[in-house]
Amino acid sequence: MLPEIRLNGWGYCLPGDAVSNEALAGRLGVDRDLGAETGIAERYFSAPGEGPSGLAAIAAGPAMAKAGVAAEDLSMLVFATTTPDVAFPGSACFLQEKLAAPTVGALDLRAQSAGFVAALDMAAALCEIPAAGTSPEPILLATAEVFSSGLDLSPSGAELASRLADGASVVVLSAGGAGPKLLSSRWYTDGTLLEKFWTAAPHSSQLGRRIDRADLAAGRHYPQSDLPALRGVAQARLIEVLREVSAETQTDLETAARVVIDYVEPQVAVAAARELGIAKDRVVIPTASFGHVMAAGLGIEFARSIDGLATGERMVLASAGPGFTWGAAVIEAD
Amino acid sequence: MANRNHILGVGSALPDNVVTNDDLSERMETSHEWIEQRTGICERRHIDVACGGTDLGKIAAERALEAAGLTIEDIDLLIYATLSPDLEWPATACLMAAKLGAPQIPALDVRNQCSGFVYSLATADAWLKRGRGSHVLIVGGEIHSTGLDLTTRGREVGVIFGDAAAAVVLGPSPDGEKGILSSHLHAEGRFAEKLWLEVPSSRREKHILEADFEGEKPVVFPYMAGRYVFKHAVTRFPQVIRESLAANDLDVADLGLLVPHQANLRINQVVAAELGLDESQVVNNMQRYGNTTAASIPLALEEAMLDGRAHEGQYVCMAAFGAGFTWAAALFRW
Repeated sequence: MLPEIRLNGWGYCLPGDAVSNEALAGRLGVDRDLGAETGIAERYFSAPGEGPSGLAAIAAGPAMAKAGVAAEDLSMLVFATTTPDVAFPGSACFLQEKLAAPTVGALDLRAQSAGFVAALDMAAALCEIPAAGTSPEPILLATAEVFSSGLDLSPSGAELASRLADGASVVVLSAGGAGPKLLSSRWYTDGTLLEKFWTAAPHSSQLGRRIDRADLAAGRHYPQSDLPALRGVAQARLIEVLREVSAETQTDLETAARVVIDYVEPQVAVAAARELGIAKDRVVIPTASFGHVMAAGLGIEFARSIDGLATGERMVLASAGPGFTWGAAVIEAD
Repeated sequence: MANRNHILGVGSALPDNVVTNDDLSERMETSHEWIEQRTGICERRHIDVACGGTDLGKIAAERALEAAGLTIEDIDLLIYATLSPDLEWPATACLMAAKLGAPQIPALDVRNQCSGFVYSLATADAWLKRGRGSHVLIVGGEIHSTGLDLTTRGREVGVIFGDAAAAVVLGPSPDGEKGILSSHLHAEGRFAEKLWLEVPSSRREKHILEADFEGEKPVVFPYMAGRYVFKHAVTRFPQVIRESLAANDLDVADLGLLVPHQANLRINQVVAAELGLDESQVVNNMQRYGNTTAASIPLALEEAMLDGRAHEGQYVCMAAFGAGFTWAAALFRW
């Protein structure tokens, strides 16, 4: 019998002041209504120097306090990001230093928008089963992104600069203790769609130079996308994986307390929810509130709203994004 | 009843192009003697046609699957371990899955540098033990040569690394006895900048700039504080190997074979001496391939399986130390 995995504590960070659509349009040099175009209310951009590990360190404070654990109690750090602090080593190492955690494992994962679900899946597996009479050893799971430093803040970059954003979430989880229960985490990949949403450079397969000035001149170091080409796929995969976790956990999507659906284009999440017959007032779309924070969007929303659920109520979380990668999780409030 | 997972198949792939120390001496101020004395490395492979880690990875993975008597359809999770991803994002695992014609399975990158393979083994083992599937494909793939400064300025790092891919299939132990007994993961993030590649860096104001290509130590190339790394490696390696043995009520006298990360022959010699292991009990092949980071352990393991050094009934330890700093060990009953 596998032990129940519980989320013992949580926190999030949306850094600095919100960047409004009007302010961003000014920075991008475009005269357009970005709010109407993207369905995004506002977003947060972090200050230089913070990095994903810095945002995660802020989110870790309330998460560890809620779980009642100190840095020296942690058995491992797991970090999922698409935009690491540096090329290598991973952001988990930088977070370890910031938290002054002991020399436990620091695992760095890359799964883009499915990062939160994938990291939950892996961290749940890595939780040690406590021996009789001992306390469970918690794992700190961080998801964080800093896209703002790598965006093309010019009219030609507006499509993604207006949608991708910064933020972090932390959950402390263990095979025991108190807190919401993880009932399911499922996620998948279809690499045939990789070049529809990606950053082309650096590219280690480029003979002679992994990155050079020509890459910069051509803007290959900025994210690029063909969002219209992905809409149908994204909607279909979100519906598919939501139905899968719903069936697996016998969670009725139409009556679940909260269904969180994250996608870079909020209207795709809206369409998926509509097709699944989920009432508007129970659907939350993180990207619509604070931009697409890829690996961290679901975790931020979880940390913002899990306290609003009563014992036994369920939160279903799904996301999709570059890779193409998608996933969903079901969490039951305690 | 033991519920163990074992390596069911191994495969590797190397570029054809051999680069000897003499070849490097023509490109920079160095010599065969200088490189050999400090590292034990005599030659390495560098791609000479445009080729990604996933192109080598495809060959390695297909060999590993064949050796295991499986096909890609049997794989439930793909882990790609690398520090030289084919592209910035999405995860190189997505591209690897597409090249292998994988069905829609979970696929992610583990970014734990030289410890990436052992971290991947530990994660895959935990995921299987949680009942999430029956087989995991782990591919370690690196194209270092396109990211190195192969001039006199970059010689300290440039001479060490080689390109390669190697893969293993992890799945249910054939007899319940063989397989991973335990794994042990560690990191010490305060030394992250002793062996690192800074850019692209999301924590800066701009993640990559023209200026990054300039100066005495351009930050588009990896940096290593060699003696510092050496000192920590020869301490942490024996520590984590002993930890893995002690966790299974064993000691060094019980160890049959050590398959260490292949960073530097001198490190592995000090480790062997410290543990009192005979030369024949330590697999070394960096003399021919250099440091291939995430690919190094499966590349060495394959050799030890082919020449009979890894044989049934032995205790085999795979151990690594590298950037992060991260270090790890997995102990097998072979």
